[in-house]
Amino acid sequence: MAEPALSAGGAIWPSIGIAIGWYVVHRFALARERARFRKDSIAKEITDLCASASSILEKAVAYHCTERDTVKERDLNHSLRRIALRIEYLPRNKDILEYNDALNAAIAYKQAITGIHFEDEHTSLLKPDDTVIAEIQLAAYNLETELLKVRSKTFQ
Amino acid sequence: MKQINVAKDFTKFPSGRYMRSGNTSGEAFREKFLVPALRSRQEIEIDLDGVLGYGSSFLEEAFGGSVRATKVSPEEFFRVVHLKSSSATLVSEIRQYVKDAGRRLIHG
Repeated sequence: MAEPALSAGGAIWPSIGIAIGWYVVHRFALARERARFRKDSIAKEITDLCASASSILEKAVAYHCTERDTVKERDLNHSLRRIALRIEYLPRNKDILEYNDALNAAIAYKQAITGIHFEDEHTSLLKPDDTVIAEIQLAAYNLETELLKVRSKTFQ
Repeated sequence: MKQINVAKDFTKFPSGRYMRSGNTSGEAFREKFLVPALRSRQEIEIDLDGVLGYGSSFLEEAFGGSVRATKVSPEEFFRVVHLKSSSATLVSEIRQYVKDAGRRLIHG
């Protein structure tokens, strides 16, 4: 006896179900992949930013404790500007205030280095134990702390 | 509104606080652009991009200093002076100097 032929509707519905299922799974996998990429990017960038902050600290102490050097001034201005820009453009979620503490710490770091005894106000050498140097070191520490907090929050 | 591009109309390398160090200082920028605009209440837009970097002493003297020189409130300052930059951090730093200078005018 011949088997009854499947109706057209009976063949289409399972195919639609498979397509929707594939689409949903694909979307979830894509979202997971994006989240993982975002976290990895932030972690790598924070590590680089901490290294940059540390390098700027060395340059800043050397600048303030030696004769005025306009090349070093430009380098410090440029490096500090880049550090703030790199924090601003870290991959974000929807929260636009996500990196505000780190940005404020970057501003404070820049102010500690270039707000006093900088450019035309660099009229004499500072001793390594001067309070200006101590303020710079403190601001560097605060910036690193805020950067590490960003990295830590990313993996919570 | 008058447009001022720091890199084109002033310098790509702003440096220093006081004019004695040269005509690229914060004081020079203040006297050339900010004080005249604030005194005449002529609105200006300052494009801060295209510059290597700004030292905090330059920014404080230019922007905080213009509040001290003209005795305008921060609100009035920002009615006249509009800031344009690809860096929100730079604008935020300048706003801080203007507000601090305004606060010191009130509290002495």
